[in-house]
Amino acid sequence: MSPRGKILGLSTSVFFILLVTCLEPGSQGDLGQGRFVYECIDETDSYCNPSSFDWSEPIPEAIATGASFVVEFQRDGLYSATQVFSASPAMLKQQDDGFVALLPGRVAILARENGKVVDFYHLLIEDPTQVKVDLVSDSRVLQEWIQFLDLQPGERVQLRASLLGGSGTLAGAVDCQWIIEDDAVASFEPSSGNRSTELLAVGPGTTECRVIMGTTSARFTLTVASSNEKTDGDAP
Amino acid sequence: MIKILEGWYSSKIMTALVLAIVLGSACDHYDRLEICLINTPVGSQVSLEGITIQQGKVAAFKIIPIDNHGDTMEKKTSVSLAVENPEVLGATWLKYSSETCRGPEGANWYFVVYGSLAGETSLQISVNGSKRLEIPVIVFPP
Repeated sequence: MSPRGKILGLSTSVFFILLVTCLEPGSQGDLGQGRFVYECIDETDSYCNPSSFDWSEPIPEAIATGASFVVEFQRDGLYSATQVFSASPAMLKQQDDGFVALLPGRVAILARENGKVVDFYHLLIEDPTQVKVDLVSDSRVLQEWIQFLDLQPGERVQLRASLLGGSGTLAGAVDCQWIIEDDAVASFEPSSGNRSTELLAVGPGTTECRVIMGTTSARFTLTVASSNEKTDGDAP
Repeated sequence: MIKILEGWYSSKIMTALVLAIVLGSACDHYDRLEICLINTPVGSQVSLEGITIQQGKVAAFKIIPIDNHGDTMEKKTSVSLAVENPEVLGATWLKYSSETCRGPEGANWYFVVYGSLAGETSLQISVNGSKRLEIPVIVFPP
């Protein structure tokens, strides 16, 4: 083989190795014997992209206290007959098929096959400190950290809330509720069960809007202009 | 007659030699333990003198039984762990193989311990069913 051919062959091999490595889901365990895959439970998980169909993710940087999530273990790209359990149930409790984070700190999840541990991974659990509300359009952020919002009657906008902590966005599914003080001014659809919602301006006025995610919440002020204001504004 | 006696004596000597070899090899008995660390979390200390580990964290290691000649004991030697208070510390087998830790290949001597709850307890190590060592353990809060 010519030197050029060898280089081409080597480059192709390296490319495929990198491609396979990048395509492997989840995060490698501390012993390198397999991969832990994070699975989004529902639409309230700030770590999960609502527009993505692939909800098998690497282990997030941090998980919120009070949040639920599912972690699976894979060896050689296949889900094995493995039980994943918590090193400390006082910090990370097993619930249904997943876990609930109870206390902040590092806690390991361990994968066990036929009575023997095969690998483990140390997760970080953090207390959430705030909720961020963004104005979005088809998952594209139009405006971050909404504090005030001005709408016209009949106008619809998409909002998305995220749970934040010291490490940034915190993962895990939490109860999520959208509350409006004066429902004659606007309404949320849906008003619970999803961190993404649609806000519909109904009638003129100013009201407080609130989103509660777990034990943390955020507020913003919504003003819906009167029809006259809109007409005046639109007049040449 | 002399020849018969010679034969009798030589067979006795051979038997004695065989017995000496068999008994000699059987005298490779337990002497002490060694530990080979595989993965210990930052802030934790794992040794045969004591274990200090944070609640929620895991340490992986191999316990190596050594015989009276300073060699690792044979593969079939069983090593097991028992925790005085399993609510404080978890201990279980680890399926692993390390080239850096000495010992026969395939020996079932790998373990993990994990801090379940802050407190104090002890970890007992047994070799072939006989308790050989008891290590004090401290699990400190997260």
